Amino acid sequence: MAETILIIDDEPAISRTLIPVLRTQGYEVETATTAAEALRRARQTAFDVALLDLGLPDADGREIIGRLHSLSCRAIIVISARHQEAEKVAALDEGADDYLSKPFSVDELMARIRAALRRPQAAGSSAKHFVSQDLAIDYAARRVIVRGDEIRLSPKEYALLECLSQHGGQVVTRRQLLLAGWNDPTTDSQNLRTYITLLRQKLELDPAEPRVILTEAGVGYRLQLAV
Amino acid sequence: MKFEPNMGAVLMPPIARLVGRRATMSVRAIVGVPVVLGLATIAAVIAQQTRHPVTAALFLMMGIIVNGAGGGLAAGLVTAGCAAFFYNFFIRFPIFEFGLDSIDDYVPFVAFTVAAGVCGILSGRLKDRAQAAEQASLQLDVLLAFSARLQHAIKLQDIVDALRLAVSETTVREHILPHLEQRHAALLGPQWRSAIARPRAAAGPDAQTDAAALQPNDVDLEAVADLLAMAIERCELLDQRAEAEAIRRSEELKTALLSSLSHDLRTPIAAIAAAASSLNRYGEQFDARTRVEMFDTIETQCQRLDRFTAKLLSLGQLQSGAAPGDMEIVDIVEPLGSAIGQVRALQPARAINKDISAGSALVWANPAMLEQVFFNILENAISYTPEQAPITVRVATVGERLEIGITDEGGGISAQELPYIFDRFFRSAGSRGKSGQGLGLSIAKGFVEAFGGTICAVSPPRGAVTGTQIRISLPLASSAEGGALHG
Repeated sequence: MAETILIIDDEPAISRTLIPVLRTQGYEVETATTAAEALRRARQTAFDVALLDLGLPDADGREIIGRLHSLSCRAIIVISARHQEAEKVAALDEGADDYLSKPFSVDELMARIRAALRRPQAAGSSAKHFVSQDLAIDYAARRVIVRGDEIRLSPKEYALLECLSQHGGQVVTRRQLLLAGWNDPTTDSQNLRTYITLLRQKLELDPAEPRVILTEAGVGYRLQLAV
Repeated sequence: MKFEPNMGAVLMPPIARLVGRRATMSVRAIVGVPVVLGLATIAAVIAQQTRHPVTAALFLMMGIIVNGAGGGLAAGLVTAGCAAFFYNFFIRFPIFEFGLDSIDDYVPFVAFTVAAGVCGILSGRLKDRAQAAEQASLQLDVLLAFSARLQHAIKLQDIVDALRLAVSETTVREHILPHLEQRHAALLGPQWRSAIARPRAAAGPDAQTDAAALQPNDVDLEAVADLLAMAIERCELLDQRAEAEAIRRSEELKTALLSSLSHDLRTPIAAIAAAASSLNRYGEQFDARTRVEMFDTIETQCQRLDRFTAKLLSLGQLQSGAAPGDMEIVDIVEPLGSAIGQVRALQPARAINKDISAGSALVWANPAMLEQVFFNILENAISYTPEQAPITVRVATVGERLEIGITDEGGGISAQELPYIFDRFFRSAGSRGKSGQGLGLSIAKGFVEAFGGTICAVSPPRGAVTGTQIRISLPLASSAEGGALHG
């Protein structure tokens, strides 16, 4: 059965463009222009991905993230022209799985949708392995293989990489990473930067020009699936 | 009267005070004292003549007490001295003659003199104390009022006003300003000097006279200086807070502006980018119709961007106060028709009714800017009302003016929001989240006013239940100033 996508955006020009593209890629697409309509459709259909614009006429898109999730929407990708990083972080902390800033290319959108669909429904429960172009992780044995060579990671480095890989291809907020590594979101994020630098030295071909762990300025980090 | 245990201690300070600064008597006492003394002496002489020497002495004593109680310590002592003299002269035998011959003469005279002195001092002192207490209570009232005013002071000027009401200028200059810390004096000093340069009436109707003002001897000047210091500090903090508040508001406005610009610029760009990248990447998988639709999207979104840029430029033009371009005689029907045409292209299904009954519709204006005015108002109307709600455009001449009304049948504008809809970047609560910058109506207002016209909004319009009417009134070209020259 084809995966279903709900586009929630009050801007007709965007949905008019995205519908044919997503359909040619084999997805079933529905649209909603208001928060109320989005919730109504989500009640009828279990969507795999919701593309959510934050600036909706009847509500702030952030307010419906939790309810969309509880209406068995698998993944929510926030698409917004808002430039404030704080709002993106808030949306992600609210439960959104990823975000995409307007304007975006359709390739980026497809990559995000694929990353969202690739993620198992209940995080970390069923997946035993992570495999990307450069990286392979065996969660049970806690083994990490980079371009064919096994590397050794400290427990904290491993915890961070595990968290990033479980959201492979998706943005992970600093708060989420601090929780994964230190179990305390109020930890100084300077610690996080230090550990990301250490990880990059072990994972990247050129740590000064990272291609595996990407920085999302002001938000967090993203583990790249394919270069 | 209450006697105190140590007579010396009771007597000495009043005498010292009498010799010192407080030997003052009021005018009333200066007149009253001799009168009372005279009456007492006359009564005493009469009593003596009728062979009642004790009664005579008591009359004199009564005079001393009355004067002491009425006129204070000085009056009491003066009366006591005179009474002792009169006692000797009028009452003691031989009458009308001074002199003390025997011990029998001394004893009553000394007893009388001592009694007179004690009476004068005690009664006078009582009076002085009552007066001092009254004065102290008055000063306390002034001090309380002063401190209450200081506590309500929110700017330095309030402090200066409070000072002027309560303290004499000399006291402030000589006793209060030098008591203040350098920093506080530097803040208060200039304000104070500029205040005393003005007439005192400026300080307020209830300005005190110098007599009721705080005297440097009676109040703790340190306490006054402390009160002042606290008030000055508070005013300073309030100033800083107001400044911080102003900065915060302007930051908020900037953020709102950036957020709005970012949304309105990026939305069309996002549609263009999505359509272009889709065509590029998946073009061959689309059917011909989808491809045409995508190109259409790119085209219309480019137009939208262009309109937005034009609005920003118009805004810049208004802001820099540029003259409204080339003015000429314009038949209003032309820019109006062109604006309606543009809006129809945006929303073909919308019903736009025209009711143009004006005989002559010539105004003195810039045609491109006038078209922008109508387009902005119409665009606003179609953006914020349901697509099935019709829009009516009415043009009529009223006297020397042309009245244009653009009426929608949407939900209307709340009374609270109505006064602000022409403000730049204002967006109604219901329109949040929709595209639009809150620029359209403010630009329309700026242009209409540049043409010497007026613009206002009525919601709901007369005779209607819902909807909004934007009314523009422009002077007809025949009555406009430039019209006669160019028309």
